Amino acid sequence: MKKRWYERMERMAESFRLPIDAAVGALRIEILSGCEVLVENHRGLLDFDDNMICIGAAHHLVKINGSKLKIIAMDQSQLRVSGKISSVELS
Amino acid sequence: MLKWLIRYVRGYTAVQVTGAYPERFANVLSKEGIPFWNLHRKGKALRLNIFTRDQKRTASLADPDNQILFDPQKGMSKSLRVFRGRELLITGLALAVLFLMFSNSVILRIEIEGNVSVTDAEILAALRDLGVDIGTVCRTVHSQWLKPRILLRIPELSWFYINITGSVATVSVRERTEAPKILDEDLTMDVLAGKSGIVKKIEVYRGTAKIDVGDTVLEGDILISARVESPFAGERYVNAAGKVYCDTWYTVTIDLPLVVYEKQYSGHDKTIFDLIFSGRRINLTILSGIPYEFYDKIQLKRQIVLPGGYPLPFIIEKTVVSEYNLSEVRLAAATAELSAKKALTDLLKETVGSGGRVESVRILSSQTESVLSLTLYAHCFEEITAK
Repeated sequence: MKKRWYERMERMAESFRLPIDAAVGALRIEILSGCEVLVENHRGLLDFDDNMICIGAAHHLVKINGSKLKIIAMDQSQLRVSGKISSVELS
Repeated sequence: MLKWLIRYVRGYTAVQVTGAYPERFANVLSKEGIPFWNLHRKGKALRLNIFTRDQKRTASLADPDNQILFDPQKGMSKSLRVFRGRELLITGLALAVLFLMFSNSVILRIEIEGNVSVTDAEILAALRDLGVDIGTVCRTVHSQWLKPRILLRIPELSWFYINITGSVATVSVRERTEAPKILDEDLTMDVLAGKSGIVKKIEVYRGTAKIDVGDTVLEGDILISARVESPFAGERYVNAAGKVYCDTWYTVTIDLPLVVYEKQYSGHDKTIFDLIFSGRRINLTILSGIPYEFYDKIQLKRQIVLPGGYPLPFIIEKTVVSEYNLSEVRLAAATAELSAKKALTDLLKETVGSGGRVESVRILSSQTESVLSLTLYAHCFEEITAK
């Protein structure tokens, strides 16, 4: 039910040419030069160690791999990870 | 850098979370809106930093399965903790700092240099009229603006400058030197009689004497003429010079009232205190009105000085008002006559000057009910020439 509503909202935002992340709070990931990742509209931290951070999102799971990973700032909607990032997986 | 500074000023503490699923703790903190940073794994534990003020709330949010350890606090708030319970000390320190900042921005002392005949009080009064006094804010004092205004108020000054160093205003002045009166020796000029009298002695240096010994001259008569006649050079005009000594007579009458009004102090005094700061006057006395009809007023101004001689920009003005009544006093005729005679004799000596002498003096007195009349008759010998 919730998924269908979300898809409808996505379609509506598309038809109105609105940015989806702003309209429906879609997941947004920014990677800065392999040393910092910004994740917006997350749903919380699922797993965390020096080499991997697993972050929950609305309909996705974000997995950040690397070394010496550290969360430099986190609030209810944004999460900023720093360290040596090797890959970001979205599933 | 800015973030670090904000965190340092606000104070922060490191938290170590151990137990099952410590990641949940980070989620709970973000959900509750508690800011944290530097989240990293240390062994099995999770470490993060929070602001000191969130410490209690963080501890209450911890899951029962998790164990939380707080590191000692860091940042400025820890340094400021030593002042806890010493609010008076902090207030005193803050006031001292504020006072130092304030006292450096106002004039606390005015020093005057370079004046000889113009008194300090005259210069200070002129400055006060123009808004410069103890307590005036230094940056509002502009020497260029003051200079023409001060020179207009005190014509005896030719130059003025005010230099403010710290809270001391140094006023430098130069007084005007009057140009000497130059007499042109080439001008043709007669010597006239300054007073009336009978000529006793004539000394002619230049010119022709128009009088002889024994002649009577009136004030304004020509004594020595500028016109010189010579059988060889003919007629010519010179700057006449010479001295003419005469017998002169003076008659001076004065009327002295025998009934005068004298002040009789009633013994009722009133003291009024005012605080003067930066030209503003604050009345410190309740009911400061003066209830007396006739009174004398004595004002004393005193700058407040801290122990050690450090002046403050406040002046306490003490005004003592003394009531008096006017009462009629009848002077003793003999005493009044004596003092009047002395006054007349002094006046005569001043008129004759140091070059002449008083040959004889006679003072006659007559008295009505309220007036004593004295008439002085004097015979003098003096020089009467005038250009």
